[in-house]
Amino acid sequence: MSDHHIELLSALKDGELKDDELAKLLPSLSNESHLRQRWERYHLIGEAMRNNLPSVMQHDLVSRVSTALENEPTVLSPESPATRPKQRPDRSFTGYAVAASVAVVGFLTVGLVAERLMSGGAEMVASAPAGVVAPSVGASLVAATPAVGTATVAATLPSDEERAAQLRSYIIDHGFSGPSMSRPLPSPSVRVVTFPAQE
Amino acid sequence: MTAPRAQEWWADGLRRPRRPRLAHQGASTRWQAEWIVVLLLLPMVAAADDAAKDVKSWLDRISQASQQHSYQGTFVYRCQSQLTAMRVVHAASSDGPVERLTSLNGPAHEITQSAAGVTAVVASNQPHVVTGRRAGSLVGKPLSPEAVLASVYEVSEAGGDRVAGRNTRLVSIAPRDRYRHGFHLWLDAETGVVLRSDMYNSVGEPIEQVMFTDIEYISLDEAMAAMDAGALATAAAPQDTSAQVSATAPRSQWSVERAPDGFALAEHYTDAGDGGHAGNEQLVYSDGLASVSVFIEAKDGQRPPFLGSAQVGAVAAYGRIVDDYQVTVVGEVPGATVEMIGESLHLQKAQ
Repeated sequence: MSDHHIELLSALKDGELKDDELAKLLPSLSNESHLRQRWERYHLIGEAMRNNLPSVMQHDLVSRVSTALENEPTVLSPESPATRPKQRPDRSFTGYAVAASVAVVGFLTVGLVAERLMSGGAEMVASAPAGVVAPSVGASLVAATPAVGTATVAATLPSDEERAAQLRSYIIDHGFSGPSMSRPLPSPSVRVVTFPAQE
Repeated sequence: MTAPRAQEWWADGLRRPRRPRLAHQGASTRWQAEWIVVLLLLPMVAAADDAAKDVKSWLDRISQASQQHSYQGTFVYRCQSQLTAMRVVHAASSDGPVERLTSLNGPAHEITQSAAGVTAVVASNQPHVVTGRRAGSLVGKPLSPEAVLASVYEVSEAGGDRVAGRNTRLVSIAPRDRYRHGFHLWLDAETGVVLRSDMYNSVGEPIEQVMFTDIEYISLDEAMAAMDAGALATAAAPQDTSAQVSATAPRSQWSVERAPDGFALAEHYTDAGDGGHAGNEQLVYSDGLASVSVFIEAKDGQRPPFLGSAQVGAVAAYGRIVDDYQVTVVGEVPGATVEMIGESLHLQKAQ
C-alpha cells in the first residue's frame, strides 16, 4: 500500500478522484485488504464525525457481504401440480438454476450472445404475495431480513447450464425492452449490470 | 299553481312521478334531475382527471430529466442480499441519453448504453467488448401512460428528504392491485432526476433499492469527456456479435388472453434467425410502468423444459410448454402476474 494509493483513496472518499485515477485504483482496492480496511476506516471516521454511528458496529462489512454472497441459498418454487402438463409427469421441473457466480460478461451482453458466455450457479426465491401494503418511506438500504409472507422452497438444481443461461439471457433482453419509463431507476442498465454477478 | 322552490324541483320529479303533468313539465324535471346528477359526478370525474394529469406530470418530469441533464455520480444498488456500488456518467445528448456505468466493487466491469446499442467490458485486465443493438417494432396503439397508470397506480407526493446532499420530492406510486410492485421515488427537487428508488412488494418490504450517494450536474461536453476518460473499452475494438432482431416484426400468432388490468402489448421482437434460433419471439406487455416479456422458442428435445415459477433478484419468471414451444415469462412484477400471463398465452392456429 503506497502513499500514492492512500492519496487516491482519500480523493475517492472526497469525491475528487478522476475517472482514470479510479481505473488505476480499483485493481489495487480489489487486491489489497489493507487498502480496503483503510477505506472502511475512512467511512467509519466520517460517520462518527456526523454522529451517525449505530449503537452496535459491525466491522469488516466487505468481507461479510462477500461471504454472504458466496453462501447465498439456492431456493426456488417447484411448479404447482395444478399447472403441470399431465402428459409429461416425468419431466416435471423442480428447479432452475441461475448463476450467482456467473461470469459478469454474460450479464453485460445483449441477447443470445449472453447464453454462450455464462456459466452456472443459482439463487432463486419464491414469493407469495398477500394484500398490497405500502411500506414506510425510507426503509433501510441494508435491511436483509427475508420478507414477511415470502416463502422459500428448496429445490433441485437442474444440471443443464445451457438452459439456465437461456433464462439469464431472457432477463437481460427484458432489461433492455419495454417503455423507457418502465425503469424508474437512475439507469435502465442498473439491474442488468448488477444482476447476481460474481466471479 | 305556484312554481316549486329550487330545492324541491328534483325531489318532486324523483319522488312523485305519478303526479299528472304536462309533457314539457316532465321533460323539464327529468332534465333538471339529470343535470343535478351530472353536477354531483363532476367532482369525481375532475378528481380522476387530476390524478391522471398528476401521473403524467410526474412521469414527464422523470423522463425529461434524463434527456435534459448531464451528470456523474455514485450510487448503491441493493437487491436481496446483493449490495453493489456503481459510478455513473450520464450525457443528455441530442441523439438520446448516453450512459456509462462502472462497478466499484467486485471485478471491474462497465456497461455503456445509448441509442446505438450496448457495449460491455469486463475486467480491465481482460477486456471483452460486445456491442449489441436491438431493434424492434412498437405494436398496437401507443400507450397512454397517464390514463393507464392512474387506473392501476395511485400516485401521490409524500414530502421530501435529502439524498446525496440534495433536496428531493418524494413521489409514492402505490399499486391498486396485487399484480404489480410499488415504488417510492425521490426526485431531485430542481432537476427531476431520480436520486433514490425503492421498489417494494405486496407486503410493503423493499425488493430493490437504488440510491445516489453523490451526484454532480455537468455540461454535455464535460459528460462526454468523462465518458471517454478511464473507459475500460478503449483497448478493444467493438465486435458486433449479438443476435439481430428484425425492425419490422410480423404480427405475432401468439396472444395473451388474460393479463392484469392495464397491461397491453407494447413491443414485439422476432429473432432474425442468427445462430439457429430462428422463430424466437419476444412480446413485451406493459402497464406503462412495469413490463413483462414473453419469450417463445421452439422446444428443444435435448434440453429439459423450464416449467414452473422462479424469482431471480427482482425479476419473476414463469415457464411452461405450449404445443411444441417453450414459453418463458419474465418481469419485475409479482409471480402471480407472470403466471397469469404465461398461463393464458396461446398460439392462434392459422386459418
